[in-house]
Amino acid sequence: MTTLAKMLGVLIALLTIAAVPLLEPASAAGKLSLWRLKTYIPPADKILDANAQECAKKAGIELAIQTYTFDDMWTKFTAAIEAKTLPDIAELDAVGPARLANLGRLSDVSDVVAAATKELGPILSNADGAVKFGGKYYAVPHYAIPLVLFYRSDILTKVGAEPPDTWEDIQKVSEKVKKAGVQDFPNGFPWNRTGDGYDPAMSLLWSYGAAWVDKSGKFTGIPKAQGLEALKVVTRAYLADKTAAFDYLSWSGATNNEAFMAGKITFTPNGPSILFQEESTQHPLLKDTAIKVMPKGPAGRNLALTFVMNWAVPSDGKQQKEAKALIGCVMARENFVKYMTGSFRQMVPLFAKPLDDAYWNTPSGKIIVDTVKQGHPVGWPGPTTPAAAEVVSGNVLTDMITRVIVDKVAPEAAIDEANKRIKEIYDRLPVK
Amino acid sequence: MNALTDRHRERLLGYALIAPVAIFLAGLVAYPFLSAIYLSLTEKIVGYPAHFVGLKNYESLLESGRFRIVAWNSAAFTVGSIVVKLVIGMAMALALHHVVRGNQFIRGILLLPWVIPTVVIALTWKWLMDLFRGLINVALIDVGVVRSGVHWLGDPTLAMVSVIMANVWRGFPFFGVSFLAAMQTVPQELYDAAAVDGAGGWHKFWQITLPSIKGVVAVVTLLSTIVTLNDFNIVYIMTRGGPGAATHIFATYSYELGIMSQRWGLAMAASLASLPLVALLIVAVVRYLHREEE
Amino acid sequence: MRPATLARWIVLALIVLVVFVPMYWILVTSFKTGRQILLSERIYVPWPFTIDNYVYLFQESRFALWIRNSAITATASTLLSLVIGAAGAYSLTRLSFPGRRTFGGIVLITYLVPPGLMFIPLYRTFIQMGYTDSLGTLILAYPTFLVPFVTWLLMGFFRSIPRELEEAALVDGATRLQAMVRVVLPLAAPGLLAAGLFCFTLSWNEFLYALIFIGDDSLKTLPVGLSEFVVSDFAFWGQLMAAAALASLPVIVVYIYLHKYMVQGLTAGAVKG
Repeated sequence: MTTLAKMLGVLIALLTIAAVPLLEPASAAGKLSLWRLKTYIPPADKILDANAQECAKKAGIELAIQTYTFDDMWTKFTAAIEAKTLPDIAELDAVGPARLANLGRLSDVSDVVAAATKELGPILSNADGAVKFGGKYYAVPHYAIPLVLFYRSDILTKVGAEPPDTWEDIQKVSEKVKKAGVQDFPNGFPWNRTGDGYDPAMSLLWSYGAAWVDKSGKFTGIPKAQGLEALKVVTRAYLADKTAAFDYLSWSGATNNEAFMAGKITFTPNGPSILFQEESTQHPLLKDTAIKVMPKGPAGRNLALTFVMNWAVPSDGKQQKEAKALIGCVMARENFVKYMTGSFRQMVPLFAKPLDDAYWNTPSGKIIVDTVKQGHPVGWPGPTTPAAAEVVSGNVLTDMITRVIVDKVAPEAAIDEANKRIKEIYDRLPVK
Repeated sequence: MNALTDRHRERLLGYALIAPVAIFLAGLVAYPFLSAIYLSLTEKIVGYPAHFVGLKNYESLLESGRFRIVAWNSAAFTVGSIVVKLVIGMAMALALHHVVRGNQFIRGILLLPWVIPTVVIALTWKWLMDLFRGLINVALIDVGVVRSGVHWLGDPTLAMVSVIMANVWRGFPFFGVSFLAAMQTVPQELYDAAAVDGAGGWHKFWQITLPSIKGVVAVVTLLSTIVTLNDFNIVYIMTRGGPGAATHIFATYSYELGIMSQRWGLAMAASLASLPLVALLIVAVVRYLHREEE
Repeated sequence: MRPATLARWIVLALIVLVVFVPMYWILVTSFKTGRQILLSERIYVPWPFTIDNYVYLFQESRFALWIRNSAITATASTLLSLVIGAAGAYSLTRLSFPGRRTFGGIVLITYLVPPGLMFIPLYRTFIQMGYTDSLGTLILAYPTFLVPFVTWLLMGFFRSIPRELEEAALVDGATRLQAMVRVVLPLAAPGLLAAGLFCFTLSWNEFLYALIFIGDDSLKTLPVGLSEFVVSDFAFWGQLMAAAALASLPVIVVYIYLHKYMVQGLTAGAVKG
């Protein structure tokens, strides 16, 4: 016990000496603070940081970069909103600009967008809904990681099926694959609480003409007839045909990638990350992995674009001018193209010129760009609003689907329930 | 006269020594806690000012079918975890009780789940239980027990069992080691006397061992109940509350409301709703212990 | 071998197996290549194995910093909690003053407050104090859930120490404070050690406060660092498991040596709770 006590004593003394300098608050005073998303492509993150630091150095300011992961973003921002400690520059997700602008916490960055337009060409008009409110820009679109339909070309050839173009097709081909005994549960559409769940849920509803708002963003409710059709096609996979396993409903963002690469599913909706993963590990399935634009429905192909990151300047910051200049510099043509071309074709620009870059001129690159060009913001056909954001982040849409699959609620009742929840949200957060 | 000043001095010292705890709890626990209670009585959306709505949040929770599911799940998760931890912990303690050689080492090994960061435990279990790639299913198929994978995290009932299993794995060693330590303080004479009366193993356990260690059992159960009820990481990482809402519990539900939906008032109400139950449990255990003491 | 002994060993073997499997999985995964993991190759034993994941930790990530930050934070908040808690527990068990019982109850109740509920109000408090983004913030924040437990545990412990010993010291001319430091505390050493280990483990694993209160990359703690190996669509399993294995190692060593004190302390305190 005594030697132990001595050892502990020495250890503690050493730690104390090591600790003293760390007890000072990490002083960000005078520094420009920037929060960005930590992505799954560390090399791209490094290029972004280097660009930003270079820009700061030229402007003679010190830049402090902090990172957050996608899952932790709103935890970190919630605390910062409440404590009024938002950074000088914030990289926000698809619904962040709507929420923060509505709070009056974002500065107008129309001038930065105008400058970026000169460098990068016009902004995609479909990206406007997430960042432009009342005629002013409150964020500069940085990049999008669009969801595409991943499928196994070899399995499709084996069962003699064409790549599916509609939600019905996915269902039919999945049945074929199952019947041929290739896979037990080929249909890897997860209606879970991640982007791989709520993004396709929107694409599905919109493709069946079952949006919950009108063009001005006002609540209309999910129309019954169209909603039922949409629910029918996706719940059948779980309930009647059993081409999907209930396990998919509790997947995380990474599990569908892994199931696809393990050769266990034929279809899954995902960002292009599977391609990156397969290329970097020289995966044997790479040659059999194909992508396609997400399916269409009776009302057309109305894709959701929910993984979009945007630069914003919170009005809490005392260095607005410097912050705007830094964003402008990061989005300058040379810097941006360097970042984009270092992203393994994952980060897709929302400006016209870099989209036309030869970099995207590959079979999969074209599909990815095509998806971004026709994607709709959260809350389509209206603009993104705090209410629309909550419909997505509160998992209302995927809950509607899983109520039918898991809780065996009648589809009509599930739609009624969802509409009731959505109405409550829109009553509480009216569209301004 | 002297006695009086002594008592004064004692009082002074008493207050002086309790002051740090008091200041700490008042500043960094009571104040935030009271503000949480206040927020639960308001409509508070992150970033907007709170406005008082009385018990409306609690009312809307009680009306909502989702909250009932969540409350039921939380109860199942907590009670299920605790009961299994009690049983396995007791088995572990009984098995180790008379083992002399290697006892220390085995105990040390068995405590390991307790020191691995919860984030890692949850991720590991999620993977172990994966339908396709999980070690459990792969091994079961290789051995020939099942022909296709078990839906550990897919079947709504089994998913709850699975998250309970992960929670139990993390927590039972603490139960076992605590029970064991308590068992070792039970005087051998009691057992010898019982043996003379011809009592068997079961009889000894129910008549001597359990009554002697019930204080420890009560306290460990209490501590673990509080921790389990607040457990967020295991469920959030393993299932995110899925499939559907089959494993959605208080902690994940408050997160969905408070962080994802930014409805801070309602989220506070949802997590505070579990407090009366725990408070009752605490009062029961503390009273019981006090009675034992007297 | 008697049947009872056999049964004991069977139960023990089963329990060890259950504990062992996930730990084995963590360990073998940390030696697998990214390809072996993705392709589910060599599931049971990684062959050929790689130490790249470990190398990555030190060359590409800030693993060493996370460990340092966690060690400092956990040690300091443990010590702070012990000092505050021991003083409070002594006061509540050994000294009589008005309001004592009420206070004992309050200490227990505060143990109930869920941390998930506290983080924003607590964060605001620290902002008002002007003290965020420092390891010191965490060192002050962790005792909020540690102090009630320490106080409670030590109260039981102090009660189990005979008053006579202390009174003897008082008769010998020691002051109350001296009696506490020289007589009661040494006797309560197992209790202090138990509470200390408990605090250390909880602080070492704490995630939410560390995520919110610390922004600076060089000040992140281990659990937050570990969580960054899972980035939306991607889990860097190999690196994550290597980090988990390596981070658990020092704690494991400590536990193998010290857990008997912890158990003694917990039970002694708890019986009298």
